[in-house]
Amino acid sequence: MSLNSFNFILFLAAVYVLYTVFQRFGIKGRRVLLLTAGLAFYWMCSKGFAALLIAETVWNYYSAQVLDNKKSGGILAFALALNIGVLFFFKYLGFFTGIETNIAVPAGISFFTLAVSGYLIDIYKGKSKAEKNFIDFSLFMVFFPALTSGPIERGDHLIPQLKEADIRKTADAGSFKVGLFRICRGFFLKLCVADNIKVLVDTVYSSPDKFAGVPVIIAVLAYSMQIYCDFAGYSDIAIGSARLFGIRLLENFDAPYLSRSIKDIWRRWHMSLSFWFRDYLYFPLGGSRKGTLRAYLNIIAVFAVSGLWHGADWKFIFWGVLNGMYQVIESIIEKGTGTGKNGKSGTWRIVLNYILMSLAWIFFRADSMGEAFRIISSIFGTGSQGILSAGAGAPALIITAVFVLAAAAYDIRNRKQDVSDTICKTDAIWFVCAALIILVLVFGAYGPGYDSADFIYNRF
Amino acid sequence: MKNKHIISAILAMTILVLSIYLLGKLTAPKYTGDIPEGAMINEYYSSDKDNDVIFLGDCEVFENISPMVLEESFGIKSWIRGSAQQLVWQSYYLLEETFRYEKPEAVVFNVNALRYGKPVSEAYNRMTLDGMRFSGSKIKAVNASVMEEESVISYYIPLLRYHSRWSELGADDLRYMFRPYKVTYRGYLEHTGIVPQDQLPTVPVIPYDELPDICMDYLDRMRMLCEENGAELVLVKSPVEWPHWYDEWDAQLKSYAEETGLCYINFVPLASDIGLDMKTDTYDGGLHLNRTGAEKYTKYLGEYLKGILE
Repeated sequence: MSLNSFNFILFLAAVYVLYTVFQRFGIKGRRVLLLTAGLAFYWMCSKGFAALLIAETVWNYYSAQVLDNKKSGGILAFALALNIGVLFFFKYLGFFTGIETNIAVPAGISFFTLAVSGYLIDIYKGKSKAEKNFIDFSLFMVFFPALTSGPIERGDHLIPQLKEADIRKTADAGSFKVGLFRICRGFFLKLCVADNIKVLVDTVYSSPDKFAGVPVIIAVLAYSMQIYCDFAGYSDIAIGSARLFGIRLLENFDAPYLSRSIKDIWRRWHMSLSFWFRDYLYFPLGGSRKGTLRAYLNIIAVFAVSGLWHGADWKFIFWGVLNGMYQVIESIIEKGTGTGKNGKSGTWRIVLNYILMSLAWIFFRADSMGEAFRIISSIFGTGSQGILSAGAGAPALIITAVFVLAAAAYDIRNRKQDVSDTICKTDAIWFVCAALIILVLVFGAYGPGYDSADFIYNRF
Repeated sequence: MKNKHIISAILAMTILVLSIYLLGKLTAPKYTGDIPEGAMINEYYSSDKDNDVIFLGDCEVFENISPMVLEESFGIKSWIRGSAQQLVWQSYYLLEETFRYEKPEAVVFNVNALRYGKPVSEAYNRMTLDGMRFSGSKIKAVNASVMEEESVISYYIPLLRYHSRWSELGADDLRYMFRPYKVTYRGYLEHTGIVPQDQLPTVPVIPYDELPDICMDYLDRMRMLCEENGAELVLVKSPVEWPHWYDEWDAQLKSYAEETGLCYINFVPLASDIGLDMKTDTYDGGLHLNRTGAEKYTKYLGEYLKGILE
């Protein structure tokens, strides 16, 4: 069950109503309700693997208890090996052994493996204590809004909030408004922007020779916006769903394409993953403390692993390394020209960064490395078909362009002031949500005639 | 202050619901072009609903029977609640709905659709079900008809199905937003052209010796519904040779009619008695009758109906 499905809306509404009833009448067991909902949700997403999730929850609970009593590197290594071993088996066995496995990948395994691994490392380092209450720990593992595609939570951020679930006495109208707005915005980004762009991108990527030249350039640039709106849309729905229950999940995006450096883009793109790799891989590798050259190697290594995390394919690793290289080259240029932290950089950097990111995304989007190079070579060719024959027609392209501008305007405004916070303090929020729902229902890419698109990040 | 919040929320919700309703009306197809069949079912609601006979079935009723001839020649007032590829359970629920509006003396069901034991396509479902007003009968008809890849809720919130038409909306969509486009005379869709029937294709091997159980079950439910409402159920097979009506199915229905005391008339072998000349009385090479063919068949059928109504 994808978060952009009608079934998810019904599921969320049912859980919310029950949760509110429990809250209104002071009924205990709201955490158990959320836990049950999480398991039911996972069952519906990936029914064959519900037992695996339960098993991972149980062994990680006990690993944490043991680790809390005895800060042993061996125990940590064993616990991490177990988690990463399961991930390796399902996701990377075929890639590393060359054996064709055809093993189905459990939903969300890449996400909850990182979340629980970070939790164990934090306990080992003494940054946080192991959660004693099994229900609270289990809820950290299976809290349904973040279960299948993140945000990748931290134990010390999410568990204290979950523990309060039974304490909050009244329904929080503010949280409801923010939650509703984020959900509506998420659906808008996903269905009105990302999935409408998808029609064009898929058509061009499937026959780059036919569309060679300008249409390919447009599709390559458009994919950057598609993947941003797809995952930011997902994150909005996940964060908004959690807010309905008064839980604040970690933010995943902060207008990344408005950044003036590649480094800054990666601080604002999929933040819960970027910060995870920073804290649990980049810093342990030495970060920037062991000299410039080592820092550059660390960046490239971390991005290569990040690429591998996205998928068991050389194209993802190449994509990761390319982004790491961007940062290294950027650092060298900044050091050489004095345009680093305190140096001035113009708006042109935003445009240049967007183009560089788009070039890297080609490897992410293409079916293989060979296809990616075919796309790149077709940029310089001349095809027989124009851009209008690649999408759902001129009106759809125009309206999608308008939506992209609206999404960009929101991000620009949001950098100066938290737009959702401002809107949600007024009664205008209800009308804004109504307008977003209408836009989604009319202009959203769903139903017959559209290839119903799951979130791109659900695949990882 | 709290009241202000509540009023704003209710107002926004009202605007949302109203918008969804109006946009659904706007984007739903109006069938003003080459495929008028989708506009027929809805026409019934604006009629006087005071009929002696109600016809049910697929194109073999709405293109082959003329209520105008029936009224002029026999004084029998009728309405055809037919639609393209109307399935027997759709006919049943349309009849159930019709009985809530009126009590006709006879119901004529064309048996051709009994060959279809499952829905054929979404397009045909839409042309029958979209036109039905919201009611318990519509809910049951939708549930019985909807195919796996279809969304049930979109039959009640048309915007969910037709939203992608926003880029092709025209003047007709606005003109017929609330006023249905009228395409028939009392449910009869007239065709005046002539395309003679040449040699028919070779008859394919019978797909199954007996009509599907589900169809016979709905036919029996239709019989009981008519009994409950004091109407005579008449089963007819329109006098066109294509698609082929197999002898095995004919025998099965004859036997069913005998067991239940129904009147079943297969008009296919009576085509020459009716006076049909398939060189001039069909507009599409023998699949359906044109106006002259429909007039001949209706006059012949009218004699039977006159006898039943008397």
